Amino acid sequence: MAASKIQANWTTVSHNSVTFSKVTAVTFSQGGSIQEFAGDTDRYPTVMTTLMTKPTASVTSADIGTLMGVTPGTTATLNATHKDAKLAAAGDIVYALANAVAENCSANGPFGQYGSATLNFRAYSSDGSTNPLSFTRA
Amino acid sequence: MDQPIPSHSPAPDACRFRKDSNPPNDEAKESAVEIAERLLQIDLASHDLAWVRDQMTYFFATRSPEDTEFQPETKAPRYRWEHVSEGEEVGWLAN
Repeated sequence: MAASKIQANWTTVSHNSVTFSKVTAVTFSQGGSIQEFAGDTDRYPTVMTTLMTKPTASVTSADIGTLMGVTPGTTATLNATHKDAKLAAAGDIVYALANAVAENCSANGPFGQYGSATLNFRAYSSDGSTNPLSFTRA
Repeated sequence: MDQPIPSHSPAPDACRFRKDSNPPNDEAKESAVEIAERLLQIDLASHDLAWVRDQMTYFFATRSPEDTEFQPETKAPRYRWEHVSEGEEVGWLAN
């Protein structure tokens, strides 16, 4: 069966030796931000460039204990597989965020609803040039 | 795009190739992985994967998501690059 080119649900989400289960959302962000330049008599930006790119990621799970157990500052590769919606072979997108530093975890539990926690990561590049966010298929 | 890769042994450690769309959509990502698998001579029956990074103007791919394009300390190139075809290069770790 050919890949559906539609992704749904996450599996194999891990950081360091910690595997996250009961995952309800994973976000990977390229982290681009535009710097504007204007000078002299300009009234509008005349140059817009992305001088720095700061990839980030977050994991949301109902397993609050595991996420809250990750110490801020822990650095490892964050892996996550976004499944093919029809479970087709080679349709999964697999992400890896190298040098992912756990920044903060926040938990919440509204009355009458399942509780969840979200763990945020920021990543650095070992050589300053290579994007720490990579992807492949499986 | 489909010119033969120089017959070196072993297979390349890295490859880089031009981006056709910016930002890459899902189809472009799939296409990028396919190009990387071809350039890195990945055996699809094996457990090897081609990990592709979006480097803004080009893609850089290796077999490990932890690899870097340059030496972390000196920023010197890690690979000896060879031209394959228009917009495509393959690299071997330099000694």
